[in-house]
Amino acid sequence: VQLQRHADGGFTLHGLRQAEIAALRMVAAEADPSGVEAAEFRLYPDPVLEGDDEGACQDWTEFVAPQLREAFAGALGTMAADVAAAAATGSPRQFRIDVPASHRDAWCSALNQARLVMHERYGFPHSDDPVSLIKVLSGDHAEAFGRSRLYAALLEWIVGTFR
Amino acid sequence: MAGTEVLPGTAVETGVDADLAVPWLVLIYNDPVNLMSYVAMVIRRVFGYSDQRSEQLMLDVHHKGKAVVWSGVRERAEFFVHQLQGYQLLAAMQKAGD
Repeated sequence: VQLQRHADGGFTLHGLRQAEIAALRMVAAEADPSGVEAAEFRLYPDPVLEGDDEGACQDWTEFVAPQLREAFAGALGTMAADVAAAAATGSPRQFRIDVPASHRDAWCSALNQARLVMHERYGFPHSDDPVSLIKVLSGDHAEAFGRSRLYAALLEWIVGTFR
Repeated sequence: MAGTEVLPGTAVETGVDADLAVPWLVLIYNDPVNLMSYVAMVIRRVFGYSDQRSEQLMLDVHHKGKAVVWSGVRERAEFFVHQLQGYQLLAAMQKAGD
């Protein structure tokens, strides 16, 4: 996969295979925290984590969390539309995705949501020590781990390139 | 502009409410998933801090488990926590001294 930065702030992913397109299509599903309480809390935490402010937490749940949900869903939808519009070029690595500058933040948000939820859902290791990596790569969620790494690499590239 | 008339028998409270004078802290907590470069970028964007200060605060979060990134009145603290959570950072606020 080749990543090309454009002068206007947009970027293009070149040389994508069907497998990578499929991984990117799964971002929205992977970012859904339904059924994983820790992931739900990670995306929508209370505004006070130390001390006691029950009133503030209730207000947050009622007024702020819905706004966050709407913003997060919007970002996922924007990225999904870009991926759905992937263009085939005719070669084995045949797909290309063009991302306009105005969608860049949505991609960062969507990729990050997916990573956060996946780590909670699948219990991925937080370090790259060999024992942990072998365990996850030989386990039931190896493919999901690969997708998570792809999302991380793409996010790192976007953040580093457009800082 | 006419002066405020105080009716007889009305209790008049003067002075600064001590509770309102206590600043609120905005904290970012370390999480093992968010990328360090992403956290620094968000701090820079939300608070307008320099690259150097944003990087230092990110490193404080990473090494110490959490860092105070701003302090001030409660309403602004709520605004910043909302912003930070909008970037999926684990952020919260706390009254100074709690």
